[in-house]
Amino acid sequence: MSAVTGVSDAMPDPAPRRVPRGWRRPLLHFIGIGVLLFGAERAALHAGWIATGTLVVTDADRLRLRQQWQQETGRVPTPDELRASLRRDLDERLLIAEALRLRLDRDDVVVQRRLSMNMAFAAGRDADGAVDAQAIADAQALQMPTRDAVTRRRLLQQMEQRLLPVVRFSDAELDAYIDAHAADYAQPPRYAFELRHFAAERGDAAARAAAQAALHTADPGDPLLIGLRQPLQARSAIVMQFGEALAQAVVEAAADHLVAGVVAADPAAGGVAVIADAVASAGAAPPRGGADTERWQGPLRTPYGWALVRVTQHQPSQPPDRAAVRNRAAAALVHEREQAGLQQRLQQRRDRYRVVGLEALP
Amino acid sequence: MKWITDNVAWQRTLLGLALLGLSACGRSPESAAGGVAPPLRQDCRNISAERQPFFGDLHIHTTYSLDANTQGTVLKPADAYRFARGEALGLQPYDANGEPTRRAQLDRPLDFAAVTDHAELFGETQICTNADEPGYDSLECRFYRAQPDNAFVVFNLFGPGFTGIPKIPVPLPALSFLSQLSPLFGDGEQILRLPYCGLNGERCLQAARTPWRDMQAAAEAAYDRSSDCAFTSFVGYEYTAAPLSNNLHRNVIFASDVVPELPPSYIDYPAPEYLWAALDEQCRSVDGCDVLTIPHNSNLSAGLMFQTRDDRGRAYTAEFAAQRQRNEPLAEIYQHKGQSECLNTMGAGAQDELCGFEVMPYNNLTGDRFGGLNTGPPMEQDFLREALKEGLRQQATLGVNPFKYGFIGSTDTHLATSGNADERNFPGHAGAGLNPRDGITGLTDVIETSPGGLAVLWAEQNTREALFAAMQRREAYATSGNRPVLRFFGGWNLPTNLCARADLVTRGYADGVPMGADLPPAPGGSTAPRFAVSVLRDPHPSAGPLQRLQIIKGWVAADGSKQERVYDVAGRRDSSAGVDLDTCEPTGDPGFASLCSVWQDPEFDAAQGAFYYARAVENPSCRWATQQCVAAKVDCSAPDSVPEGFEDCCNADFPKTIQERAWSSPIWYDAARR
Repeated sequence: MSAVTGVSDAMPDPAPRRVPRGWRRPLLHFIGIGVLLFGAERAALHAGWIATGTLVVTDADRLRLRQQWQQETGRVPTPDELRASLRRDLDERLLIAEALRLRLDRDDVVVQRRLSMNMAFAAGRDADGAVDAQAIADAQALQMPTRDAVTRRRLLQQMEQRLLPVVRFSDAELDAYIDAHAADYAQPPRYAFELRHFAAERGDAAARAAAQAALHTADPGDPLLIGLRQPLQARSAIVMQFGEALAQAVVEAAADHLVAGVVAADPAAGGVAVIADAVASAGAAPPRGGADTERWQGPLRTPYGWALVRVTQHQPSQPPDRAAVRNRAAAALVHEREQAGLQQRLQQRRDRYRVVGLEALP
Repeated sequence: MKWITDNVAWQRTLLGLALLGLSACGRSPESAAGGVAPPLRQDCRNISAERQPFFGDLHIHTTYSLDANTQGTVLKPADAYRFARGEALGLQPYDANGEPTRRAQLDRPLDFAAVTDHAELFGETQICTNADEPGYDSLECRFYRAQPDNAFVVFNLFGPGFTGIPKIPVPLPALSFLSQLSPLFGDGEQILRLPYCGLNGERCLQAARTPWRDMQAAAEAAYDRSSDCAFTSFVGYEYTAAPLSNNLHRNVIFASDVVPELPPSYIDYPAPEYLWAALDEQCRSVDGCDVLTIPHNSNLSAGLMFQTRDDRGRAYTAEFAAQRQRNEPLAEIYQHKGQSECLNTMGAGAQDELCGFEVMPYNNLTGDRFGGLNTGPPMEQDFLREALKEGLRQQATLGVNPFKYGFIGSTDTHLATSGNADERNFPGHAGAGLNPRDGITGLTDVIETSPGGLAVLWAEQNTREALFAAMQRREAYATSGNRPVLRFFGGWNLPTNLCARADLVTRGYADGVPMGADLPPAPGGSTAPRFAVSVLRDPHPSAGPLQRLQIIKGWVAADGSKQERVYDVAGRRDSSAGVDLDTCEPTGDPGFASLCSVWQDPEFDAAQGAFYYARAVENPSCRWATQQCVAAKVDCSAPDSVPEGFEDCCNADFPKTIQERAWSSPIWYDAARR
């Protein structure tokens, strides 16, 4: 080694050696520089200083997307709509490019089976579901993975799965989420009511007339198999059982009482307002007249004939019942976080691709 | 429920809840007597001591059933429950982008549901459809994926199908491997699995754990345990016994989330009595487990479902009859594969024209496959009315009635579309019949298929405990998909003016017994039992009005002959109600919104045991196929113009209209208790 360095034993040592001799090997230098360059490139890629690849938007792309839009909606897209459509298309191309870069087209069983099947079909052979390596190589040479609708979709699914974050959350976070979306998870208003039923079997006109007359009498009407005193239920349930007309009358009657300020929801009673009791205890005149009998509404057509109705309880919309909405809210929370994570990761990848031609949009 | 699979933490929580107690199951025989209801959970907002009708579906298949999977169903149990609760689902066929081309949604959510995928071939399907499973590339799985239609037949034949073949006993223990190689050898107590399941089927048994756990997790996630009690799910599965395609299927419904580690299937327990014994052992009440089994499609059992001998050909004993009654309080009377109430071929039943409703023209599951070689016309003894009479006869001999069935309806959907029994929107069965996997041309299924029905349970509140108790005491009725409310009480002193009174239900419970029960012994001076039956029409705007209300009585005469009689007790037998077949609009008699009657048996003989059930019938309406034919403007007077796939619109062998209906569970009179 001394011959190589050309240092004579006779010469005095000019300075203490700072670098061990082994470190001076060119191979090591070569590797070191290589590592540095690789690291720099990764860092630059990650920071978006240089591009992983280039996506080019051509006039042909614009035409294709414009035609697609017209086919689906029957009209020409606005510039904003076309730009959004192009961006979606670019995202798809970006994900496909990433999938190919990660060699997903070579590793995924579904893609391989599809390519084998396509090639068997092209060759006029019966597809037996087996994976044929040569057929796959041929299909890849033909760029089939990015052109076939099924493999393309599979690659997109695979990439989305890879980019989807695994979402974890605590009970406290779920509670906070429910609170933040209280309006979505609130319990709908519920109504309890009493009926006086006038059966269709009396004849339609006679049943209606009897109901009308009963507004001013104590005629209890006919029995009804599902009962004349109905428990608290949401408007949708009333519609299902008694029809739209009666449900609307119930809602309006309850609203009138609340608007008139006669009855307020009592938090101590779980927000349930017992209208008759509240009216009595408040000593206030009930709306629409005064006498109890006048609170009957109708006649109203039901699937079973005609009816008069009187609201007995009104439970205004309630805050969410956490136990009841827990599963539904968890699903929404996970979906929301997944989508946020997906978008963030997609954006990181967008930053690594150079897009040519997007700025030339009209 | 994508989040379940993605969210590890949450998934573990759900699985943990669902699997609680998995390892400790088994039901003591005395626990299943069904006489004592479990304590009710008094926490539902909506609770009624006089009980309420809850509508549901106890027969639903998803992607885990091989026959659904080979027809392109990819939806899972969680999807089936979402659908039951009112959400929309996309259905096959899927387009080139994998998007569903059809959509379905209930306009009225269900109150309860049970996903009942076929326990047999759980593991086989799981392996062949999941690339991560070790057997995915086996020859059998390649065949499964390449030719799903043929795979459906072959897998079922090699699995549950071959059990009906007499077996050659293995001559020497050293040759026991023969029973693993061929269905011809063995003792008949275990069915061969396909080779890719490995020795003793171990690989398939292991793979079956994944779907079974997912079914439990989905049921747990769907069950509303809040005071809203908006929806109840049951963990369940289908026990798919079908020796030579003769149907002995049962839906197995568990009372709680405590269930066996793997569902006892036909492959391991190849006769219903072995299933009940396995459930006694693996689902014990001391561990919080309880279960019942619901036979379905007795109409397709080729005489097997209600035969009076056991698997080894021995006549029923009182013990065996009690075992059957204890395990099977209910039977499914109507579903996609037709009704199992009655076949009007003989005796007094020949006078009952309403038995012509949705009759499958075969006597087993083979249908018209193999050119109809393995099937025949339907048989009277496969229908429940006949079975109930046979039950009375057995009771006279044994002292126990083995066929003491209440009734429910369900769909048997293989599309995960729970409770979608509406004639206006029938997407097909997707288990047998037309395969919607690759496309649908014309009618959505073969003409003989039906949209199925619903199960209705009278319970205090919508919880697993209350609904299961209703099933055990048979306080249940079946509908053909509509939602009428039907009450049926029997007693010795029911007031004759009940229909005019507001307390019909109160008096019904106080002075009598509800549907599904036994009449108490007659008090002195009673001449004949009296029945109060009341029905209120389905309130949906598309539903038809009621036409008539009937009580059907069955008994065994002193000479041992089986007898029956149908009594019209309210409404109009000679109604002019009809349908304009060009538009499906109703014509004629507008029908009734409600019908009620208090009826006393005019031919009562205290020495003869009898059963009574009610049938409420609507005015005629268009059958599902007729609705699709009208929508497609099919003109049968110009045969060349009939589009492909709509040929059966002009098939005169099938009726164009139906009369939707409800069947109450029977009330029994036991002559020995008088």
